[in-house]
Amino acid sequence: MFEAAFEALSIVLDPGRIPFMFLGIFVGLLIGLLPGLSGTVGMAILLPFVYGMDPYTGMAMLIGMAAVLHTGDTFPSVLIGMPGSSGSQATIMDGYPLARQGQAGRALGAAFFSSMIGGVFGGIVLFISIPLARPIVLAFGSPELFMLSILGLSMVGILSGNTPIRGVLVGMIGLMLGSIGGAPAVAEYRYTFEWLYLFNGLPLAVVALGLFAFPEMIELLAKKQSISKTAELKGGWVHGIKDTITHKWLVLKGASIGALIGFIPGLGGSVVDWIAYGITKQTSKDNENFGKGDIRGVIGPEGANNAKEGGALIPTLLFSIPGSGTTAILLGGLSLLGLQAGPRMVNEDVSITLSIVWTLVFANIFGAAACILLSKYIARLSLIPATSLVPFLLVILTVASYQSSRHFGDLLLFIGIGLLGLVMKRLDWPRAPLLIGFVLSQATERYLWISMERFGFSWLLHPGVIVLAVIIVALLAGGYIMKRSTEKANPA
Amino acid sequence: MSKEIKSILFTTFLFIVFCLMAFEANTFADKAKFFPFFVAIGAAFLAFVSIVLQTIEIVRSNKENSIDDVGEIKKVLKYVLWAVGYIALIYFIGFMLATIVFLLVFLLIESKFRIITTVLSTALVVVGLMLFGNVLNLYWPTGLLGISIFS
Repeated sequence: MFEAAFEALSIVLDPGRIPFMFLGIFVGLLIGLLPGLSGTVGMAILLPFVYGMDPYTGMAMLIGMAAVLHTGDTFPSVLIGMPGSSGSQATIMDGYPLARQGQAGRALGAAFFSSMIGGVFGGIVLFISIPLARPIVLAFGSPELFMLSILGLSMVGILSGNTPIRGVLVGMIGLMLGSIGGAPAVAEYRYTFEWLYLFNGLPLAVVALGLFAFPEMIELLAKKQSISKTAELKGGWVHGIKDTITHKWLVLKGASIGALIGFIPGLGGSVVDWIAYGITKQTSKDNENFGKGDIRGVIGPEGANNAKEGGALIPTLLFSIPGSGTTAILLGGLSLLGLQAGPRMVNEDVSITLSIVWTLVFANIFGAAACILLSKYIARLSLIPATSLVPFLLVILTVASYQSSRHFGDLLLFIGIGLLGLVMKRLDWPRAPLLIGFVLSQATERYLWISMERFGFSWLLHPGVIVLAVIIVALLAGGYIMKRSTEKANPA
Repeated sequence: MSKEIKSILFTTFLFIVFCLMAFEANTFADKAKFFPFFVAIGAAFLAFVSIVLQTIEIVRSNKENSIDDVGEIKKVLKYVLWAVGYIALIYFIGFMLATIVFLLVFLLIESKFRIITTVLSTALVVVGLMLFGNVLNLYWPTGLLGISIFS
């Protein structure tokens, strides 16, 4: 295992691949920095560019982006009090008051250093899980894989917030969109209406771009959102790093929570930092200053949201279960690179998995270092008004969409799905379940069909199937209870 | 119109779409039919339940429903039209020319850039696109009229 890890290290450090990792880091930091844009958008922007790349280079770029997203998103959270992404909501609670007190540098320093430690911790968790997960993964047949798809689909309820029926309904839209094109069991094309563009199904990158990026751009323009006041960056990031070292156990606690919750598909993302914040607050002495500018309120959630990425990659890579929109698109990226998530990732393609671990570690270190060094300049970027930023973003997204199948249908689909996403966003309908349903549609149908063909209905009595059914029920119930407890801890 | 009413209308739209998809799925071969047919039927049922629940909630609720800001909706529609117009322009005159026209017009009218800033920004984007296009082997839509510049 260690021999393979060192081999993967030499692959990752290949001079021809490092620039692509840095490109991913750059995009991740930029996306995190720009409020309103999520990791899903970043992943969707990069996804079309992995066409033709070798798997190591493609994954270095995609993972580089995902790893540092929750490092870059700290800027708007601390400086403006506006989450750069859903993973940095809780950072606002104490980061913004610290910035108002003129201690933005301290808060940013602590946040970046905690993020770095959390991210490296997440990479280590992923590394440790490889030998442990291997025998489990190898025991999986088509019935168990079908149940895993159901497990992924069942997470739409948790991703739906307070509207589970809407979440399931949206997930079903994703399933139906995923069924467009060739059927897996028989040579028949469905819902294509004789339009050639639809014969290969809808491209994931375009669906993701339309669903998430388009509505954000329109909303930013309509609300003329720009940062109203310049938050002055005062020195003190060294002070923040010292704070993090002082509260080292708090960072590890946050990182452990992040990695653990990240492992639960669908529960991470917007929930993980709140849970980390709540537990940090509840288990800290003299916690009356939380919410008014306590540095521990920054360290806990920032350690968690970066560690979450390592945890979230375990079910994504080893079991094909995307826990978020970002990992859902990552699954698509694996397909584009000629890889398939599942047992192969711990056998034939173990070097890819190990290269992902190294990329996670390096990206977090470089990302945090870059943020600390460039914080003064990056902060100015978030002051750009929407009308000056969005036209350029629209051009980039149009280019990115067109690379999927190089057919004008990509652009029509981008606008069509974008309008659907805009309506859903304005009506407060959850959008992430659609993506999960879309990504898992083909796998669900394929494994169900194979299971029925091979075993009839007897596959329902397979021990693995029963265990997974119990896990699905337990996770749904557990997720519900954890959410309730988080809501109680953070009633606002 | 309140957000709650719009949500019911949207759910009704989904209900109709799911019903049509189930009807269409019924025409597929057996092995291609089972998944989309049952998902569409289930979704249509769920959409119906959702419509009923939302309607009951509105009827029971005594508080005033949230009304969308009409001005903001107009702005949303305006920027949707900008995006749709850009894509339509690409269809007719190709990506590069459409991008130049779009950026020049948008930056001047909406962003209120000065002419020199607008021209420089647009030129920078075109150079960047060409650079990335060459490095990453990107393709642009050519357009119905067959006008090609910088290709």
